[in-house]
Amino acid sequence: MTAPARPERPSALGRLTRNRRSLIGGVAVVIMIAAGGLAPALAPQGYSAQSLLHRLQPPSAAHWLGTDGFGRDVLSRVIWGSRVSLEIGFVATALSLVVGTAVGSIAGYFGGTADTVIMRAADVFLSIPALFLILIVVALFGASLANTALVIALVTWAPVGRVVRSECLSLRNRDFVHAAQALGASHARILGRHLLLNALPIVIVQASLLLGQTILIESGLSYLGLGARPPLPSWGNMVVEGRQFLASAWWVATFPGLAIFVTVLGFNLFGDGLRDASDPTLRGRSS
Amino acid sequence: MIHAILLVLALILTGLTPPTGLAAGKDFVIGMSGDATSLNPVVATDGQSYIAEWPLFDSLLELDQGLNVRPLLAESWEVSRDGLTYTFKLKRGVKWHDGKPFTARDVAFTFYSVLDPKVTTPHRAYFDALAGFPELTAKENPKRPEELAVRPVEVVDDHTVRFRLRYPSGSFLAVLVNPRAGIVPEHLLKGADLNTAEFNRKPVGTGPFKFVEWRRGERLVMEANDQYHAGRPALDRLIFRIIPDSVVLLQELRAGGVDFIENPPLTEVARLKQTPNLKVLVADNTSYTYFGWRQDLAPFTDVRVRRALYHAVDVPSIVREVLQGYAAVSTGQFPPGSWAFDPSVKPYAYDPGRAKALLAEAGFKPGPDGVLVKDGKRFSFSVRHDQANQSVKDTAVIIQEYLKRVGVDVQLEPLDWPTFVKKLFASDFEGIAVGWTNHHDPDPFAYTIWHSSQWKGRNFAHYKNVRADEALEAARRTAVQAERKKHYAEFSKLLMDDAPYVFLYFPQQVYVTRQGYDGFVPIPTFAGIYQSLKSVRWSGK
Repeated sequence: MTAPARPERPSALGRLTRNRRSLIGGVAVVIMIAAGGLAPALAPQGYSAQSLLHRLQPPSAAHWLGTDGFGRDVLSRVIWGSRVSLEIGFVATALSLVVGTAVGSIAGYFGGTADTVIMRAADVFLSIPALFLILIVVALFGASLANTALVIALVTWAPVGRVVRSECLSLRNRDFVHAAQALGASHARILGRHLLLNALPIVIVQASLLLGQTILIESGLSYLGLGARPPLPSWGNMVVEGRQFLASAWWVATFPGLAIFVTVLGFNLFGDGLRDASDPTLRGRSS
Repeated sequence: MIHAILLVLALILTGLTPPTGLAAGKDFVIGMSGDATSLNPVVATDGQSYIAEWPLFDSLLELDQGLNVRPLLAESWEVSRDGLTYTFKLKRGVKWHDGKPFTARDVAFTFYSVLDPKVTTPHRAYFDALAGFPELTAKENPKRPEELAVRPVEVVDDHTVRFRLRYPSGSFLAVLVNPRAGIVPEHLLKGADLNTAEFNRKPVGTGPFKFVEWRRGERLVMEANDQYHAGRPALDRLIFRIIPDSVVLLQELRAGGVDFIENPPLTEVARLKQTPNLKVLVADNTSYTYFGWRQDLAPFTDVRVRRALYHAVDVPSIVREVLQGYAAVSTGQFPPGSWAFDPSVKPYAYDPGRAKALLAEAGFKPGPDGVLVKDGKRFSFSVRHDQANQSVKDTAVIIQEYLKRVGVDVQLEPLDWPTFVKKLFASDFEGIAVGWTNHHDPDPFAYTIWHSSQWKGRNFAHYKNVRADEALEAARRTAVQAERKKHYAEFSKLLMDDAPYVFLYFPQQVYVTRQGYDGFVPIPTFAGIYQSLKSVRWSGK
């Protein structure tokens, strides 16, 4: 019996955890997701529990992050807010990925007319200012969490589609794809088994970067009054509500702002690390 | 990315606005939260336009601090014994800003324009008492003034004008004041379409300040009228700067970019009062904020339910904590400063236990999710409100929480103001939270909001009480104030008994200006302080 050989190069996971920045990003992301998931257990108070007698109290032992203009506990609202922000982030990202990947792989694999039509459509979506498109959709269909997620997906699928298309373009001329074609595999099988599976690392990297972006868009929308409805907290609408107290009660806007900052940075660092880890040209290096 | 920039920008703007030219003492810079839409007092409809018109146009009469009328363009007036004829002597030697003399023909032209159905103006209804009003303002085939047997406005000579009414009206003098009854020049507007005239952008009035320039969305500049009939104002120029954000506005004041702002964030007022070079001015207001619903939709048809909702909301706490005391608790349509106010009418006390008992009595039982249920239906309704009005928005969120505590579920629906108003007048809502202007005389608003003949107009909540109708009609048809007061007291009692709204509060108007500017008169009506710009002066530091 021989002991299994020690791998010469660390695995992708190993590379990921060895990268300090992506580790920090990953930890930030995990904390935020945990906060959102466990909000009912973690939040010291309900997100809508008001106490007008205790409004705008600075951070204290009773309210670690102070209270807002309605006397609601800011910490509780930041925790509950992570649930709303992340929920929209995940739904929007998933939608955007599914559409972007499907459309991009079809364009990249089949090429020709399909490619032209799909990519020009993507160009159209990329050329319209995102905020403008969002405002139109919200004005037409009203503001709700589902609509917000849908709208964000609408403005983010095109870049995903492009990346997946270029990956499929380069993969479809590889020998193993030609081999599969020669063996008589169907288009669906080649697309699913050979192209998408190989494009998966890129899609995952896109997902982690996109999550940060969608959370930022959702905050912007809530900031403009088009996202989550009161009393449901989202970080964006908490920043707006706190803005009027900025000079007298800094904590109301600052903490949800920090939460946005940390989460978006976390997803970006983690995404960067993922990309480095999955990029063969960077293997073996450490940063 | 845009969103990130927006977020960052907003945060930076609130902290770092460079001073833009310190006021020299005679240039008075006023920070306005929005731009005017029209500078023609006949067709203007919104508060910002009213503010901008005050210095430009004089009306026949103006208000004093007790909301009594006093002469302005009219020197004196006589009322006939039957109360149907008002004869005004006009001030002599008054000139328009372009130098032409002001005469009685301008007065007649102004009021015939208001009555002309081709002109789009919300002020027409205030002149309901004028003779021939129904014929002149008819939707189909309106008559021309020449065709009437009794003409409502008659030019007796250059300096005398006579109004004829079709019924004695206690509110007639009260509607002849700014900002809704400024006099416009006949020689510049005759034959023009008042809705679209170039005049609406480059106005000529008789007021203390003359129009200089208007850059839309940016600034509106006026200069002192040397020929003003009551003496040249002390300030050389008025500059209205349009700055929509209240936090930025406040920062501009601190930095010296503006000299006067309205509606600072109320949480800041205590600190502003202690800032050595600033002073805070407070004026009562006729405007009011309420939480209401459609009277003809179940379960609001049940008076026990309506009273329960009233008992569920702690209005005094909202006034004390959120409005920092800069408001008066409302007990109905009339503000505490009005002569029509009846102090014996009391609001329903905050008593959640009583609210729950009343709801149980009305047949509601607690449901599985804590929301009350009756006949299988959850007590859940939407409340629409203006998304831009911070105090209304905050109030809606607070009400939502208070009602949740007694088992009533409220869904808030913030809308932009034009959409909101459209839905209001189409009665397209379940619940509403509204901040509404008002008139210093009780009749114009009380009648149009609560009389059952107005369901297609301002009575969009569909209130109907035959006895309240009678009280409103009786009050309208007498000119004796004591009589009117009696009818309005009766009306106020009936209204509170029916609990058609949770009457919330009358917010006060808060202004901040620089120490050294004196002469402001906080007249207790909407934007009334702007009437006193002609007496404001710089006394130096």
